[in-house]
Amino acid sequence: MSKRNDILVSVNCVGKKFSAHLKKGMWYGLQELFRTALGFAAIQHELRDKEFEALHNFSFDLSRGDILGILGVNGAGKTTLLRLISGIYAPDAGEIKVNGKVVSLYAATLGMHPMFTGRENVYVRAAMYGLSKEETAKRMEDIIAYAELENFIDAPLGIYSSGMRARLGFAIAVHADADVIIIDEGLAVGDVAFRAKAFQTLRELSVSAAILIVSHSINQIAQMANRIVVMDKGAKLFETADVQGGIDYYIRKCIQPPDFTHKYSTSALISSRVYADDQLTSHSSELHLQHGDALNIELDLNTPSSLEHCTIETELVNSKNKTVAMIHSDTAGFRLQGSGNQTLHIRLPHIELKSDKYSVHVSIRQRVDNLPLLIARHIQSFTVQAKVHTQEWVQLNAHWRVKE
Amino acid sequence: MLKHYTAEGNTRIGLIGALKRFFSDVAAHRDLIQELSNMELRAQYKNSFIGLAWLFVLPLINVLMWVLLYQGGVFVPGNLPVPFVLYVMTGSVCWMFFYLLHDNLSRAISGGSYQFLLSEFPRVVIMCQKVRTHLITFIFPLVLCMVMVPVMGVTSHVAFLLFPLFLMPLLLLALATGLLFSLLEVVASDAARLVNRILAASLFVTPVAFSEQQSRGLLSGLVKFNPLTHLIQVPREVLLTGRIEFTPAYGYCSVAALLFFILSLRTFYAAETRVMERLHV
Repeated sequence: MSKRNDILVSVNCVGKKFSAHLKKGMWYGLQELFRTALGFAAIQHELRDKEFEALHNFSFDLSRGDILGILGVNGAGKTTLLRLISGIYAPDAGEIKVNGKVVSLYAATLGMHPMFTGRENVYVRAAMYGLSKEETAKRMEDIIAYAELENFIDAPLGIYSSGMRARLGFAIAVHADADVIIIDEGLAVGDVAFRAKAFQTLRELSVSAAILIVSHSINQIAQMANRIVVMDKGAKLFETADVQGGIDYYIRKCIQPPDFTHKYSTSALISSRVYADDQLTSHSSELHLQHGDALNIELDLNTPSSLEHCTIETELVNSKNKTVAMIHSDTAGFRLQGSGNQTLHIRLPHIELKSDKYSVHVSIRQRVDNLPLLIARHIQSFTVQAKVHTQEWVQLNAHWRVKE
Repeated sequence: MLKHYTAEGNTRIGLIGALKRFFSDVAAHRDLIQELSNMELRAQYKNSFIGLAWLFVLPLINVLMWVLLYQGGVFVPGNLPVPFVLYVMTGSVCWMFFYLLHDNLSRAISGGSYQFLLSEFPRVVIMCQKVRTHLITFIFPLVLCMVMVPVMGVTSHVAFLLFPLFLMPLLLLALATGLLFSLLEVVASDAARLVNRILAASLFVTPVAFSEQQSRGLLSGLVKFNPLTHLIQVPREVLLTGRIEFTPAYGYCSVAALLFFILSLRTFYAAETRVMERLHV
């Protein structure tokens, strides 16, 4: 069977709108209830007051063997898309065809009751996935073994940790003979070892099924996906089978640095530049570095008094607004001298960070009491592309050899 | 198993189509209905000291209230063919059979069960689960009524065993109102609450604890045109006398309940997805 003929999900020019206003939404719902009761189509093609488009003209196909990673910032429309494919929402435009059983992992523990044992909950959850009692009974031992809950399966679910519940939910889902598996931030199951097992299972299942993953974790997408769709504001921006290319595109186009506020005076900082070794001119466009490249930071300062008794700190802050590296003038034993106009040049010979978008923050502090004279956030930004994807932010380079 | 989702959705589904889909959904998900219903039943009574005894307590409290009013002379039920306690008990059980099912169904979506709606199975499964739970719950009060008839010295006929069958129109009516109001609860909770209150108050215009002949004036008209009057009186007559008498009013009301159920089912299938979107879960 050719791959084209084995399309399991076909999303064709789909649109979806919602009301941003609760009462208006209820009023529209009431109108739609009466319209449908009378046999008229429920939808209004034009946007009504307080309505917005959560998804616009969205299309893609998903075939057996595909592991499609969907990347998008909050509000991009990812969850709406998944709910449309699951049949929870109805599209307002276009059509969706789903050929096969859909199992959603975003609701893996839904419907489970804390008062009942793990075993009893398996029967209920498996029935939700369309398995008969006999089919569930046949798979029960496999599910228990997979979830690693042999000693707890007859205990009430209420005493399970959240990780145990997630493992049980995941175990049931992967034993449900799904044709399409939908994962919405649902891979945070159990500990590291169980997560590795979950990833491996999904890879094995993808031979006979199609998998759709939505995650903010670029690492998870990079590890699992063989196709990428990047979406923003309800529209598809980019689709590619080049996973690395898709991730790079997402980092470049979608991840906006946080909107920092200047807490302290920045008047001492006239201008700033960041550049790679081969880009000697200042530029206003974004800087893209490969892992291991050199980074140059230049700061044009104008200070009324001497900075002799000050330290300068430069932070590299990731897209989640978390400081991942600190460059401190005292580390190199560097002392600022003089006052007035001067340009400070900081060179990092190797940027050994994972793929992401980073911002540069600068602060100048008095050495005696650490009081800041200047704090300037987000003075410049740059992106890094690394060859490998890891959870850790720092990827140190090393010399590798086999010792004789 | 090809599913096709379009903007039009199920809005063009017909009455027969809705019925066919209903039976096919029930058949395909019978295991799930059974599991969910068993879980609901056991959860209801698992953390209670008196457990299943609650099934008897609620109708008994209802009966005791009426008996108290009757003995205190506040309430005159009129000429009754059987002892007042038995009359009230049978009427109350029939009325509660209708009202509690309607109430459970109408709150099925807006209440906690909406969590299930995030899953892919048809939402009508939740409704069937509620019906199954309700029927099992009512086995005990219904059997109690049937036992009390000979115990209280009322001579009936063996045909009184058919009493549960005559409750079918009440079941259909409760399903019809429950399906419709489950949707209305989401998009117009005020209207749904108002109508639910009116339905609860219909107890007082239904000859549950008084004879139909006892009512006067406006109440008489309300009692006469209240479908619950006929849908409760005939099964009660079957239970107390064993005589099967199809009054024209019972026949009309039964047919109307069936048609209302089919219309509500069609509306439910046509509008459920659009309405669920308003839950914002």
